[in-house]
Amino acid sequence: MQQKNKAWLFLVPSAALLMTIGFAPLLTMLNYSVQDSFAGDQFFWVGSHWYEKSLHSPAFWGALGRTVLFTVLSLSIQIVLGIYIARKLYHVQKNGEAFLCFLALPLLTPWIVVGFVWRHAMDAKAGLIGAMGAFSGVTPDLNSVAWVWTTIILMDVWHWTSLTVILCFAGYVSIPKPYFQAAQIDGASTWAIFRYIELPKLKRVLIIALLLRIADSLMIYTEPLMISRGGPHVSSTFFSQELIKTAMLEFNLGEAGALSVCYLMLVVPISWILYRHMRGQDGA
Amino acid sequence: MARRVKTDRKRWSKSVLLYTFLTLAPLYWLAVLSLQPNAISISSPNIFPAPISLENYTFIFSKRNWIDGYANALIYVAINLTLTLAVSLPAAFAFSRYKFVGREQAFFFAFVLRLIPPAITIVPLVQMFSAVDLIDTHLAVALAHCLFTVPISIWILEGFISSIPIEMDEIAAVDGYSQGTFFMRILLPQIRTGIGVAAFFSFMFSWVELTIANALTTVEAKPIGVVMRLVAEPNGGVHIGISSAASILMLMPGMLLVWLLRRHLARGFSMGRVG
Repeated sequence: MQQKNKAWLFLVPSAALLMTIGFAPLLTMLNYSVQDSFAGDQFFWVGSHWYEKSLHSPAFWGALGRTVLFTVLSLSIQIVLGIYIARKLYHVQKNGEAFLCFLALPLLTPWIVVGFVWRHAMDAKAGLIGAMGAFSGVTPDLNSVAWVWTTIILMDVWHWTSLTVILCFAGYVSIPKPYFQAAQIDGASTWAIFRYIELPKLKRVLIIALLLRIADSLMIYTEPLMISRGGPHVSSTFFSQELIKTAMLEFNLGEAGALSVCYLMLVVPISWILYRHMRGQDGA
Repeated sequence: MARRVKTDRKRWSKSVLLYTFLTLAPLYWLAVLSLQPNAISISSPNIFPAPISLENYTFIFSKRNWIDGYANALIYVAINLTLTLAVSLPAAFAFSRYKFVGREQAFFFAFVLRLIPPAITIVPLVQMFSAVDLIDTHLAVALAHCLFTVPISIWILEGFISSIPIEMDEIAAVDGYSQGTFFMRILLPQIRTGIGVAAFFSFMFSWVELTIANALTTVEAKPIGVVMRLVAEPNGGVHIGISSAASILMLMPGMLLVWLLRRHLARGFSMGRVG
């Protein structure tokens, strides 16, 4: 291509925007992470003080651990269930496409509504799930850690499985039909067709789904706050809540900055690996 | 079992029906809650609204801050969608058509910004928008949401533009189209689906998000979700009826969007090209 540098001209608006609202705040937090403030307006250099404090803080490691555990549990259900439903939708269901409209609805439900409806659903007296549970002898109790976690994971599965379903269905639609016909002539088993035709073809959409879900799941905030306010004790306090508490309630910007930097150092390399996989597929 | 792969004779799938039912059940129940008096909603798990009452909706439509909250959310989402498409279309075009120095790095960098939790950027954003006197405006929320909507839109649109052969650009140039006219008159109509999908993903963030919208607004631009949170606080007095009615109202724009995109959901979400 000629005029290669003209490309940067097209990138100026988006680059300027992203630098201002994304990169600049990030640098601000980085700046806070190596300073302490005196009376709120005098800043002085403290080096790695906040990092040492964060890395030895049980609250940070606890919140991070819970966030990762939640992400792993909830995503493994979502991805497997999502592929299964998309597969049934493509192979078995009449007018599979029409179902996507209904399945897309949870994705467009405001997060506060998601938290609100699931919290009320667990109410032992008036909730849809709670009353059914109470009727059959297992009363949901949002004061117990097990029930809070069950609720949050069920809620997240309800909320986000549809994304995997829609992306995978789109992946299925783009597999050329002759692939299936050839496999059938060869007498391939259902499992072999899934493993050697469908899964490789779905790899790209699955990585997209995984990247988006990992990113959003790790920053979950509104929904668990609505369900349990991070409790009982801190058992459902996730990373974002811990960070917002440190930055906005305790006004400890130094520690919040250090927490942010530590978080990104963990997340960015994982995303880079997934990203390389995805772009590698394009041959781009 | 392998016979099932033959796709021309289709039936009803039990698992799909069950899953669709479970997906819609909470939303249906929300509608039930919104249509009956609050006293019933907090005491018994009705599956049908009884007695039917519109008191929750009447309450919302009689209160200025609820109506304004609804309008505020719609306004900043509209600004966000416009801004997002305006800056990501040229960027997607550049990523798709030029092999420039730093292309891969720039593409990933845009994506990394998408990974930053709002919890990290929220304090600097509040300080920044206060400094330029933009706090509590629709524009501030729309701009802040761009951090999440622009990277994904660039990503989606890049796929769609790349699925259009580059020969198209060359033929148009031979026919005397300038790059601008080509972009507006030939390219844009062909990636309509892509624009729809990018709008879907932007909406999927901007409309449903609350943390940023809450922090950047105080009175003038407060979205309905924040107004709702004031009555839906877990430990405060929860008004189930009004909160449900507000929730149903907040679901409407999403339903409209899904209906508009109904023909494109399947193919569109392949992001232009798959495998």
